Amino acid sequence: MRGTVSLAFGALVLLASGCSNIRDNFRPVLSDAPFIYDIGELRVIGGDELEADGFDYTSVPDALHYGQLGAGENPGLYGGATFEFRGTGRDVCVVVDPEAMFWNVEISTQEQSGYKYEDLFEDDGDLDMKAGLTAYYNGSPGIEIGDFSAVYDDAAGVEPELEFNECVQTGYGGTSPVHAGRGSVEFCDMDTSLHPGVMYTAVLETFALPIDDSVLNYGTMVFDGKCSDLPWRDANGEKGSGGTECVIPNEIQNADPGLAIPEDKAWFPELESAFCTGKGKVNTWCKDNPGAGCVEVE
Amino acid sequence: MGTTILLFALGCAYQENLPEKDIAGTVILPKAAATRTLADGSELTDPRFIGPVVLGAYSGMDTVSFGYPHPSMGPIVEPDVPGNTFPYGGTTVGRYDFACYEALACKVVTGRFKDYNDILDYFGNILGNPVTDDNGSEVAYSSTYQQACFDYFHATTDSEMAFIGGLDFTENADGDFESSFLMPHTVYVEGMTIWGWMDAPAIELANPKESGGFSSCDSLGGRQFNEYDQEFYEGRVFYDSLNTPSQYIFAGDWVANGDENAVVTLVDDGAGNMVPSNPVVRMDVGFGVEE
Repeated sequence: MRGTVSLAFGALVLLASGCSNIRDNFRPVLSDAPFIYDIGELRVIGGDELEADGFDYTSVPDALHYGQLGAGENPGLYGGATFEFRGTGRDVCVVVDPEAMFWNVEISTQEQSGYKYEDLFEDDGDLDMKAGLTAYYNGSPGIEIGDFSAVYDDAAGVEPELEFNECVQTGYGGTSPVHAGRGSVEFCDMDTSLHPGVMYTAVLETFALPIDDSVLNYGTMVFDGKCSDLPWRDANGEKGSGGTECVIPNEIQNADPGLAIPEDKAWFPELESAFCTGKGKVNTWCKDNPGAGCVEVE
Repeated sequence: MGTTILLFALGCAYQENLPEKDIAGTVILPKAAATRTLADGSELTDPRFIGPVVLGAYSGMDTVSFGYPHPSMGPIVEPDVPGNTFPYGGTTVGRYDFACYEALACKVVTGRFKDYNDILDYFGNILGNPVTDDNGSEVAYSSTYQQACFDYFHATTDSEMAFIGGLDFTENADGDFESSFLMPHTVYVEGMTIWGWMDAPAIELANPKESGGFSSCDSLGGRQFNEYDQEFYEGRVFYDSLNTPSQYIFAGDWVANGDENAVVTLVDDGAGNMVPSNPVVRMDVGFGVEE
């Protein structure tokens, strides 16, 4: 009897410690990167500025912000960043480019028919973006992440929930609102014609941190115009063709210009540049640089 | 075995206590809503002029924001889009149904036509816009129409055609047109008001070929048909018709007045049960002729 009890107790201990180890493997590592951060006010940037010859993306921190987000001690809370901008009285496009995701699963070993390498997924984080009038934001910038929901008391005393998020993104098939997944760029048009000069808040909610280092680098800005008019660029400042991923280049290196780019991600700017130049360039680059951000298809 | 039977019995008896009721009532449209001026200058009263009647259950009425009685609405969030009315439920008396020919997409409502001839007569003889087939040729015979429908829907009986059969509206003793309605599974809120509007068909006297359409129908919605050289949408009601109705109400339409007869309360059914009252929705606020 005593032996049986000891055995059961031992099994429980092993089970508990086993569970603990498994849980730790999924927990992001704490770092110096902030869990919640308020960027402050960002200037709405125009296309003429972005398209100027030799434009340096790190030269306008008042309009184009590169930053980092990390894990929090309490896994039950959402982290993220916030910033404010003033309504222009016109359409604006709010963009955030989280690290890193380039292409997804369009893999083919056939010549000229698709990507021949898989994208490295361990470096992909995910930020979900919402934006609306600052007056409707119910979080505390720099302290607590919130959203733009409120309760409306109708004439009969029923309380339906209102949603004041104006950053509505549309997914495949026209469904909305949606969020881009796995490190993809999020962007949305916002009509500020009713509120020129009035403050808006954008929330970048940390949905997932990269599992390789638990630090999520990102770039964000507000463009003066519709998203369809955003000038796409590659990491070299050349006109790109890779879509929204190429609007805010090199978020890993630029997120902390004071530090050198991590050695294990030194390939990032060149791979991003190849991606923004075209599918064929990615295949060539991956072939010439085995293991650097590209994964061989088995 | 006995336990299983007991559980089944208990399951059937379980009351979920959902705050929902089926609201049954009457909608009344004045004779003028079914009366239109035709190309020859004559006036004709015909219940086929009654378009889809959209009904919703709302918290109350807003008599200030619009030029007609309108449900109370929440705050305006987006420019050019009115506030959400947050309806508790809704229904229609007559709905858009695809009547076999692309030329009739967004133009035929259920509960308005007895048979194929009724449709051919309405469009050809009254609106001056005869029904045409996929080649643009006029459809002259009901048998031709029937065959086209059986072919399109792979059907074998007229009972499968929802756009013909029983009629919704009948003329009452006052000369007005009335119909019963049922608003199923509506969140019951004491004192809520049943409000709605009738979308009147466009009658283009100068260009009859454009007659018969409705502003509340989304011509780029509904089932998409792609076969050989045919490519079109069957049409459907705009999905936010109940939430932002003012976007779809135009001249010629008729709007409910939102009076006390349209308010729903609980009443004793005579057997000691408290059940929703039967609201009477009178749509007597009009805006002239839609052109």
